[in-house]
Amino acid sequence: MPIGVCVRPVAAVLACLLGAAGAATAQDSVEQFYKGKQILVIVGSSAGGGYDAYARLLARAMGAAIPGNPSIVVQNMSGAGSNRAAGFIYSVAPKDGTAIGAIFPGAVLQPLLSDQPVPHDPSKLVYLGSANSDVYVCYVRSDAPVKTFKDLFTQELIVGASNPGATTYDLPLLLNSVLGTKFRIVTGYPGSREITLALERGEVQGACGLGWTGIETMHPEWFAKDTVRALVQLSNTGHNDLNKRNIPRAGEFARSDDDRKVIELVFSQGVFGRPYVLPPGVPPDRIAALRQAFVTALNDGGLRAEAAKMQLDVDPMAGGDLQTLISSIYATSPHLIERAKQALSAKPSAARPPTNNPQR
Amino acid sequence: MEGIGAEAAFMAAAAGKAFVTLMEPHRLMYLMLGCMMGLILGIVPGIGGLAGTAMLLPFTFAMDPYSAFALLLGLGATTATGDPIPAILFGVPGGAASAATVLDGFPMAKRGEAGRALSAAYMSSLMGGIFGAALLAVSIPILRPVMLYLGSPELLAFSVLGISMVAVLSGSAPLRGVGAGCLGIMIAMIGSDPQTGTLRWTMDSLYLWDGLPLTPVLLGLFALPELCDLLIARTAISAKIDKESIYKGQWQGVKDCFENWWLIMRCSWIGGGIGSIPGISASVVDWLAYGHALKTEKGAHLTFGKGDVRGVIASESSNNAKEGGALVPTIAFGVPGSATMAILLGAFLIHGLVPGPDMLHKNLDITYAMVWSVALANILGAGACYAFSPQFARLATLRYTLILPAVLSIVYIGAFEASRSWGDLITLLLFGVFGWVMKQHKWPRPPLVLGLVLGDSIERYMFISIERYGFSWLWRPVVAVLLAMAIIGLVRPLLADVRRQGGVMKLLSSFQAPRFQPQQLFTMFFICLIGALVTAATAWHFSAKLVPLVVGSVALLVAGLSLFNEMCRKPTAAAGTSLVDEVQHQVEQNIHMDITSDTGHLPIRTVVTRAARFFGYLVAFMASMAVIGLIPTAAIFVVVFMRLEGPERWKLVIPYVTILVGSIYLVFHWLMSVPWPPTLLGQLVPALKFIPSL
Repeated sequence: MPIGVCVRPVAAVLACLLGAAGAATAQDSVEQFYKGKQILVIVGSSAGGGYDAYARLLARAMGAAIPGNPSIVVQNMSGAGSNRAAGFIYSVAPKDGTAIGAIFPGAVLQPLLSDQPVPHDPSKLVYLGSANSDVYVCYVRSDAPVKTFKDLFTQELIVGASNPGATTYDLPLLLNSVLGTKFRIVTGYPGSREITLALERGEVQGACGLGWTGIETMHPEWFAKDTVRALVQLSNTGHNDLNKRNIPRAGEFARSDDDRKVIELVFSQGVFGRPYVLPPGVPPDRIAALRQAFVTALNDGGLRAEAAKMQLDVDPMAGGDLQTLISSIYATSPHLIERAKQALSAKPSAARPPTNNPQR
Repeated sequence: MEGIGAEAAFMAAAAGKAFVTLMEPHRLMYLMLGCMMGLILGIVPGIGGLAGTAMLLPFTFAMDPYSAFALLLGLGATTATGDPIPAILFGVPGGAASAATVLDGFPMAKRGEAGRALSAAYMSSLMGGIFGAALLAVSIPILRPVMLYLGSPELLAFSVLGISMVAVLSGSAPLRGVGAGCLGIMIAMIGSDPQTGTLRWTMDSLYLWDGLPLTPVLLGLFALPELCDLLIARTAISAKIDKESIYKGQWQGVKDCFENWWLIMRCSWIGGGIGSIPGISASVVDWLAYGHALKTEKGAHLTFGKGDVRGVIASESSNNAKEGGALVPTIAFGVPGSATMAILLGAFLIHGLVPGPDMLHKNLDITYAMVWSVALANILGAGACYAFSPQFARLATLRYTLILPAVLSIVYIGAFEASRSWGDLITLLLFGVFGWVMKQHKWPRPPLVLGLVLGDSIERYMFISIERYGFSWLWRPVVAVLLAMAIIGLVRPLLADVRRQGGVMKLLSSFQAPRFQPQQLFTMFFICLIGALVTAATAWHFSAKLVPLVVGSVALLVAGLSLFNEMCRKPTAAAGTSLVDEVQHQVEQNIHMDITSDTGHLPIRTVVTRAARFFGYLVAFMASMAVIGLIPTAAIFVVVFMRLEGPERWKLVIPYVTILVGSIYLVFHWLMSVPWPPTLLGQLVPALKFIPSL
């Protein structure tokens, strides 16, 4: 069939040309779409917090990196641990790529690990990427009897926490129930800054689940004068500085493979410290353009300089990678999820009367 | 001694250097710019300086720290300066901390003394701000040790002392006051519980997870009832006043402030002190100062709440001093004392400043520059408002058909700004109805606010204290003193009251067979409401239900007693006396008998139909907003209201609606790009979405 032989390369060339043209049109149509438009970034916390600072930093640089150079405006919609903002992005916001959500990692992971109903399905959100990763750490006053992480298996350590669902509460609780540590968790501080203050005044001996970069920035004198020490890293990979100082990672103390996997599942939220999301249903070419712009903007020299001045740690994770990670987290085997759930509900169940509710 | 002398010299040098640096013309200009923006933003209730400061922050990156903080603090310190204007003129608290100003400021405006009230408010703001800054300036060396000494037990004791003010603020109805306070605490418990994460009374709504935001509750409790009564009375807020008496009143307000300088000083210290305690909300300082004045000022219990200028002075001098106070924990520990301060904290880092000991030694001059910025901003802001207050004062003489549409629209948007969801508007409406009924039945509203704001910190710090220290914390000296003061504050007015009634025996012997009156329906409703809340709470974990159950039981007890009193107490013989003073004296004496309704000159039927009409407007507003969005609704509402109620001439209606809706559009849609909730029409006909907020 000589004709057929002849046709194939022609078809290939044609396909190639068409494809290129297609890509070009996609680029054009994205540019056309965003020209003169306004993108709304909805932050799930009130103005003044860390999530807000990151979003405003990103908003100043990202418009220039998107084809068509749309303007970007930041809005705050606090409430329910950013679940409200996530729900707004998931079901209310326009699905044309003009609304971006800046939510907490908890709003991504909590629906998997708790029974509280939320209005969004994190596995169906489109992930734009994460602006940084955070390494959570346990801190201890150097005058406390607990000196090393191993001491925690025999001696009690009073740690301050805000509320169930916050890393300051969930992470020490997880270590207590999976590894058998003896954190005594004092709950009720309004936020991490109040916990830090309680640590400073000696009301608590330690605190777990506070990010390393934030603490190091705000309290450099603690570590310089050795009034407070880092005890253990609550992270799967650890922070370079802390790894160099031989601060152990909690996962190393797991007694079984399952224990380690449960710990890693809960710690995974540190990897995507500042996730940005789009509603499901945004056209793929716009998703690609926004994901590209996200990374470009965060790697921009001007933004990095500004971030360094604001003491914000920027370490972008690309949208595609984050999407894969979330899918794999949501594909974790049910018995591990169940174990993680149990580990995180340990404290209330002690006081809770046994229930026969089959859904629990 | 030498050490102290050297320290003082170092401080004085830093303070002087800071002052000279701040006085440079371009820095002063930034400060004035900040003040101007703060004043404008502050006029709309609910927005406050938060959004403004967040938007300004990037512009300060390139400035030197002195200029940056001058701009940011100028804005932050003056947003509350505009608050007394709507509070005094319309009874609408412009911000969380000027709700107490309404109590005496609004009656003064009704009496035609708006000029005097405004001028007193500004002069006391100004003086309060300066006194507060002075306190801050001299206490800098002891800030850190003092703050480090205040642990959770002390914070708990402070909150309890604050809530014991309920006894004073309940006026002549202590049982109802305690009941309202308990309800406030229970409302504060709504949302995710800090101990176990139990969702308390959230009714499966995401909106209630974090509890009710304060602004819509306050606007509902204090603003809507006044606006409703304005519609019922169908008059202007005050009678026409001539220019001369306005200026006279303005001068009188200044004299009032100088006569009461000692009160201003005390109240500003209360404001500065409470503002500086990290972890306790300062949004009730106005009530605490008001309560303090009520307790200590001569004859205050007879005239407060009826238009006593000292009430305005106490409230305003305290709330202006609190911004200076809020600087303290931010500077000394990096724990922001208010939301605006949280943004300021971001500015710290950008300029390479780390909150903590350094700010009190190495960077002391910057700290002082902040103190001066706050003080100067107070002078500039209050000065500007003072200069314009004669113009503002005349607003109170306008017809209600001109006042209500604009003020109601602004109240709506102010409430919506709290968390930008439907829940805010529903909260506003529910608390509006509740507040109006409370006002009609003479249930005191301030205790509810106290409970609402302090309830959360009481629960938190009580659990932390017990979990951490067992019960040994009760013997810490500061805790013991504060708790003793709280108990005395609660018990003394009650005992004094019993004595006035002729002792326990006489109290117990003056009963009669129960008699039903329609006013008791509200007390019954109150009991049912608390009962329902308590019933829902019984199923929770122990730590989640402990406080709600204890507080709920107290509420049921006092409300039950109150109902018993209303039904079974014998009326006093002196009811028919004609002298006003006599009657007042009687009300004071017969403290448990205060059930006269506030219908005034109008028959009950008129009052009820007109109130229904008022709340009908609000419901219609919300319904229309659900269909066509907020901005078109505001336009329609204003037109319908002015035509139906007036009727006002079209020549007046059209410019009015254009200006009002135009400015709402500019500020909220264009400048702040508020994410509007979805509307029915917008979903059905997406092509119409070009209409703002649809």
